[in-house]
Amino acid sequence: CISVNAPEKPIVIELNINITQEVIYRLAEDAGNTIKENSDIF
Amino acid sequence: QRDPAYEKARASGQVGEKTDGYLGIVGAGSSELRAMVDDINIRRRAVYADKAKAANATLQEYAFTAGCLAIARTDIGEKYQAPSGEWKTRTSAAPDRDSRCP
Amino acid sequence: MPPHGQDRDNQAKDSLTKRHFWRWFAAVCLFLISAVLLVTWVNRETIVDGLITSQLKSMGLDASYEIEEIGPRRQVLRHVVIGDPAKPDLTLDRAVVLISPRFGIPGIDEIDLEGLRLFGSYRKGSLSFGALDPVLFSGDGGSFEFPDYRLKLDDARAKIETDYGNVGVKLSGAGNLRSGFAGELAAVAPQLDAKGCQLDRVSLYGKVGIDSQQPVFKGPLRLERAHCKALDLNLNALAMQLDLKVDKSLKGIEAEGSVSGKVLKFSDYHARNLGGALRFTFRNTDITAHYDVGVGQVITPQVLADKLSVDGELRTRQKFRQIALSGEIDGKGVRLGDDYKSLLQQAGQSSQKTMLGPIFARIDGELAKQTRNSSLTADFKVQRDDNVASLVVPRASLRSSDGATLLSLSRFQMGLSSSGTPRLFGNFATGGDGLPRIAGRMERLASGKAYLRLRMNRYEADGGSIALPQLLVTQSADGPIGFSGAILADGALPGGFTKALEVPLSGSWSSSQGLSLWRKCAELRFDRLELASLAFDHERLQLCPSRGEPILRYGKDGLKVAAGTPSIDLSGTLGETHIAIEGGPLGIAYPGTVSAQDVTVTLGPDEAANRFQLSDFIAHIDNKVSGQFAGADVKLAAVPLDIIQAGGDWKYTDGILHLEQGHFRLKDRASPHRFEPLVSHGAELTLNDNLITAHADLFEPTSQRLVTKLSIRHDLGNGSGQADIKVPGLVLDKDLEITKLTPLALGVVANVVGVVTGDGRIDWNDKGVTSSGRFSSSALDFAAPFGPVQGVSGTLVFTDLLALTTAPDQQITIASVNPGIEVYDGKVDLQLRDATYLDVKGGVWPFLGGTLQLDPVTVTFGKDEIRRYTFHIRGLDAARFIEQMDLGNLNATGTFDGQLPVVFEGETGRIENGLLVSRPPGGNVSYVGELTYEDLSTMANFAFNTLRSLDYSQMRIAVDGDLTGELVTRVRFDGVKQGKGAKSNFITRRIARLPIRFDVNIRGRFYKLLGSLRSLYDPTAVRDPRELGLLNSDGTIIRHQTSGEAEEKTDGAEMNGKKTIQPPESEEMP
Repeated sequence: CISVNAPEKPIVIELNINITQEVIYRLAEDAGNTIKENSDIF
Repeated sequence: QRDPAYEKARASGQVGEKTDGYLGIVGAGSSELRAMVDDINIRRRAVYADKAKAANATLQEYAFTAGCLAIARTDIGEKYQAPSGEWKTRTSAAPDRDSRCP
Repeated sequence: MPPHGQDRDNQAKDSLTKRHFWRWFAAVCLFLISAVLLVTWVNRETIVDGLITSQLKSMGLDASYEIEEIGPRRQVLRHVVIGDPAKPDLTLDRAVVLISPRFGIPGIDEIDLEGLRLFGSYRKGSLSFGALDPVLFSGDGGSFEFPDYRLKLDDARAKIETDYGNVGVKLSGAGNLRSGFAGELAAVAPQLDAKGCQLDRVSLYGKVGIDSQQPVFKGPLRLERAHCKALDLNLNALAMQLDLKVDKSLKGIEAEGSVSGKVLKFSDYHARNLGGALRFTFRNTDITAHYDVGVGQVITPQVLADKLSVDGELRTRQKFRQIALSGEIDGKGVRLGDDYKSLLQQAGQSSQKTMLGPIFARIDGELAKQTRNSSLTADFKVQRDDNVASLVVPRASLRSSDGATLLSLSRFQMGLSSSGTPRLFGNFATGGDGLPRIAGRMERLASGKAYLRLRMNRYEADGGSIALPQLLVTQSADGPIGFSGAILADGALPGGFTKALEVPLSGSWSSSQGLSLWRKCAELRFDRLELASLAFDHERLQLCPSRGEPILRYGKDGLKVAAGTPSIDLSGTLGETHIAIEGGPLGIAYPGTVSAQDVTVTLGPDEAANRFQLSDFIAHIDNKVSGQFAGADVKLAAVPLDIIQAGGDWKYTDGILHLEQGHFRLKDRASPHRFEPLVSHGAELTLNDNLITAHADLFEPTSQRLVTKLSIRHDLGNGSGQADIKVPGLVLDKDLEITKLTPLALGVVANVVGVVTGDGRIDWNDKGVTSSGRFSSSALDFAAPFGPVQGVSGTLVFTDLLALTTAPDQQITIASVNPGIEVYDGKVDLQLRDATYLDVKGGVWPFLGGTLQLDPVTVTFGKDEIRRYTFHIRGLDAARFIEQMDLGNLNATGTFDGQLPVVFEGETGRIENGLLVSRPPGGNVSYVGELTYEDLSTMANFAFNTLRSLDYSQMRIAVDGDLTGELVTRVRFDGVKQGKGAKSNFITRRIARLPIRFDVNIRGRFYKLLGSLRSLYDPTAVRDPRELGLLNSDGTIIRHQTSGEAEEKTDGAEMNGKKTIQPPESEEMP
């Protein structure tokens, strides 16, 4: 069987999760309305 | 119906639309100009915060999107920030915008 | 009485020359004569009768008589009646004629008349005795001569009827008519009525005589009462002791006598006890008279006198065409008459409020005292030539009882010309202790212009004094009087006081137009002028008339004043505070208003002066002083606030100034100013004895919302005071933005919505200004640079309200703040300093089961600075965190502590080296939901299964990145072993024992950190990783992370290259 001895240094499992989402398209319409509604500050 | 001082500042190129959706001062600005720009940005941020929350997006994303649209709607002669960060003057041609802009 | 005078003269001439021849002849003649005589003696009665009748007939008298006795020396007639027997003109009881034997025609020696009754009449100016007229009034020229014989009258009476009444005369006496006749005359007229005057019981008694052909009369003429209705003249008990002598030719009378009278009254002129002596001659219509007449208790409207006597001369010539009356008046106890006295008292009354009041009163009193037994001496001359009359008084003086000269007049001349205004000239001077010293000179030029130069020394009465250094009165020929000069006054003024006030006098008086003063600009000068509590020193004020009108006109229709001054520049004191008034045109009109334009009033010593600028100011002066003011800018020195464009109504009654309906704008004088101007209407202010109290509601101009109710108290005396500020409820919303109230908020906060209440107080004195206040709100929302803030409530206690500095440790609670991550129910302890520094002493928020603690930090408003906030997290409960994020499919346990340093620059806030560490013994993270991607690679499956449920002894979460954007989170699980519910098999159990450290680096939106986990089961929330090139189509991980530039949404500046993820080993974990 496999004996796995405990190495002195911990086994590092590194997992990089890069969660980025392109929501910009989704927001375009909403942002457009926002600009129109608040035309005094845009 | 923009505040006349704001209108003048835009038209005279003292201020311009930044890519991050906020208003920026082009060159050195007086303290009054800075107070006005800060005031506008505070109001924009408040709007972004509410809208982002509602749209399930981060404030930054919402602001960035609004920035894209704001730059798109700049009039000829007004200033806007190119993705490279430097200020450009809007011409009749389409503005130089970030690729991710819708 | 046949004339005999000439015969004797002829005989005297003949006898001398023919004495001898004639001696013989004489004896014969004598014999003849004696015979003739004897014959005539025997029938003397018929001769005489014939003689008399022929004589009478020759005189045209029809008379009847009886001869009682005719003798050579004595003829006696009886019952003589002359004239119409029924109404005889003359009757005689008995007439005895004694003839003296003389040569030729017998001369009458004596006539005795007894019981003579004579009837005469005096009608329309002519005296007639009926039949006797021809005899009596032969009028044949020739000087009248008295006959040279004795006359003896015994009980002779005459009755003369005149137009004015009947006069009864009784005469008796005897004596030679030419000289030596003496008798008694008595004439009585019970009532005479002459030209509207009624004389009662006029009587004349006295001794009559003829003295060397001059009739004399001596005795009293008495008048019981004389009353002339037209002249309102009454004399009674008038008596004149006469001593007359008539000229031989009966053409002139010389008389002397004394006169006395009880009461004389001529309209308003009364006198009593007339007495005096008179001597006059009346010759061919010329009168020369000497008189010395005295009268007592003289009462005239102008002058009273105890005793007045005048002696002098009267001379009339050419039938009264030339009259010269001169004399010397001597008076005792000469005092002012009622007219002048009441004039003086009236003047005193009307000028009571000024210094003139006491002066007139003192003059009145002193005059009364000094003239009590004064003495007057004056000599005078009245001259009249045809119709030009003049009065000359060479010298006159009125002396008080102790001898001081009260009034002296010298070379005084008054022309009584026909036209109304008298023409005067001469000098006069007044004196007497306690009385004003006035000296004057009057003169008249040939051109008819008269001058009066007058000077009055300073005359003082209880504090007030008047001096006329010089007054020139001119009077042109046709009469209006003009005057110019100056008046120097000290003492009381209506509602005030003045010292050394010098007023130039120039004006004119005419009976038609009354008094008009100052047709040209007049400059007033004074050492001190006090009006109410205003006092000015050493100033000059120029007053100019307007449009041709004199400044002052006092005539039939009362007093009118209209003056203007182009500019005023006065400085003095109001109460104890210094005041300076400069300004534009000032117009004064009474009755009417006082109006001033562009007046600047400065109150207080120069450097701390409160400046009032008034654009226009109107005051109505009638019974009360009131008016309007507008365009007033008030700069109070002590308080850094300016009141501008103030206006309203004001009134000034008994020393108190009230301002009402006040409207003004309140501006902060500091710059940059701390608050925008506020407006007020309906404000009111009172200034009472140096104390200003004011109440005003202040509104924000555009929304007209009430901001604060202000009540101010300011003591002009020592410049101290206080202001109470009440904010009952300031409503802020999109109609009233905070930036409309204070510019300080611009760029600091925006969109402020809520109600602020509170009150404040400002105190100031010469040491400085202190202010405090307490302002609170129950639910204030606003947008701050770091994001929207909602539901702020609490009270800020300001230790210096004007500088906007609060006391330390001010507690406020914040319902929610969203700097990117919304945190709720915060409690912040802060202090605001000088409206620029916000010292946050600390803030605590409940955060996911634990607390979020903010370290002290100072924020500087209005400065572009990098702000560092350090948050400490304690007791964050993973489970609450998951529950908060409503991640239904995930479970986590464990309690975390740590800190999140947040750096704000501009709009974005970043977490830098944020770290959360789980507390021992650690916890578990497990996924309870379904895995949707069945076709994950083995490694992914292994990872997922590991992840499915993971126990950890310690979890460390390192966080970096943009609060509002992408966060890089590095999660490290230590002491990892499979938690309950994880698929465990031999390998996982073996591994569990291995010291496995599981690092998960998650780059993504922190806010969405767990949200994205949720996206694992909710595709809409996440884009397919495969699209991002993270996983290839079979789910194997191509890259651990996106390459960064291209697809990633990097925010340029922040996530620059150097910030890429360090390999964990090199990470220095705190």
